[in-house]
Amino acid sequence: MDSIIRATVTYFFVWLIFRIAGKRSLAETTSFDFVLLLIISETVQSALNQNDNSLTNSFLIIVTLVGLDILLSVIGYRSPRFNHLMNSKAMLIVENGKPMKARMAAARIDEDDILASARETHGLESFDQIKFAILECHGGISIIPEKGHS
Amino acid sequence: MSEKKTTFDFLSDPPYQKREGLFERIGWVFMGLLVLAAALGLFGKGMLAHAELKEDTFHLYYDRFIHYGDLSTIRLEVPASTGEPGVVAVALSNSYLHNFRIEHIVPEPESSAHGDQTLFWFTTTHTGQPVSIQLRMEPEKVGRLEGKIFVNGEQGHVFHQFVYP
Repeated sequence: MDSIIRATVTYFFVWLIFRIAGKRSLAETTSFDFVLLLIISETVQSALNQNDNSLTNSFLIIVTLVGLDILLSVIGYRSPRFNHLMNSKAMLIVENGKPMKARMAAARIDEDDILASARETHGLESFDQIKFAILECHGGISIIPEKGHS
Repeated sequence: MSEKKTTFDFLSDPPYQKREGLFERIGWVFMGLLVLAAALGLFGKGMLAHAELKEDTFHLYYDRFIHYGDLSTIRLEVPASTGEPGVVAVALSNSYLHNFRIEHIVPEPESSAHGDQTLFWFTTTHTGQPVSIQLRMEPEKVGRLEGKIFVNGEQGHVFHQFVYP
């Protein structure tokens, strides 16, 4: 029972921290962020196990974490409102080549981030060639090019 | 042009984005306060965590905030002039001690249990220096704990600790 409570509390705590950190925190994974994630997982792991390194305890924790993830995704599927609460909403940040500055500032995204994504995904060079850019729930930037540039 | 604009209209939810932005910023402030509180010792091992119980017959130094499963030290200083010469008797309430696993006690005591207390006897040398006794213990229960300490048969004194999960 203790393991299940620990795993549940940890799941929601980690969710809360990453929700507070914002969408861009996870998508822009630099090598430093990667190391940071490893450190976080190591820290969480010892709190979850609490000196009980048995196979049973590990299985219980895995089942609880994955089970919670499935449960929340099922609830999210049935209730879009709940889904938005848990996973945020996608947000339009460029419309017909015009960057929407206020939204970009709120999401801590600058024009270079959008242009970098446009270059990587479609080989675009400027905002004129971007029809829409969308900041997705997972933090990635989707680019829809203007006709003739795709 | 207007047709193009409506394509992604469903992605424009300014009230939601505003609420989310506000939530994030409140979260940042909360995290900052949490780190500040931790630096000050509200979660143990800091200025706010250290506590003292100063009586005429003894000084007790302990941690107000401790962590479950983490070792914590209680240090007792007894002036040489108090009590019976060569002996220091310390009793702690069992309702307190039973929440801990005692790692070690320095110096090594003789102990005996008496109903709701455990009595520790320490033999001391006659150097005139205060006697220092350390109990290193690991909490096995979460929450607020109340301890009662009796030194050399004097009246008991209550102290509190909080064990974080």
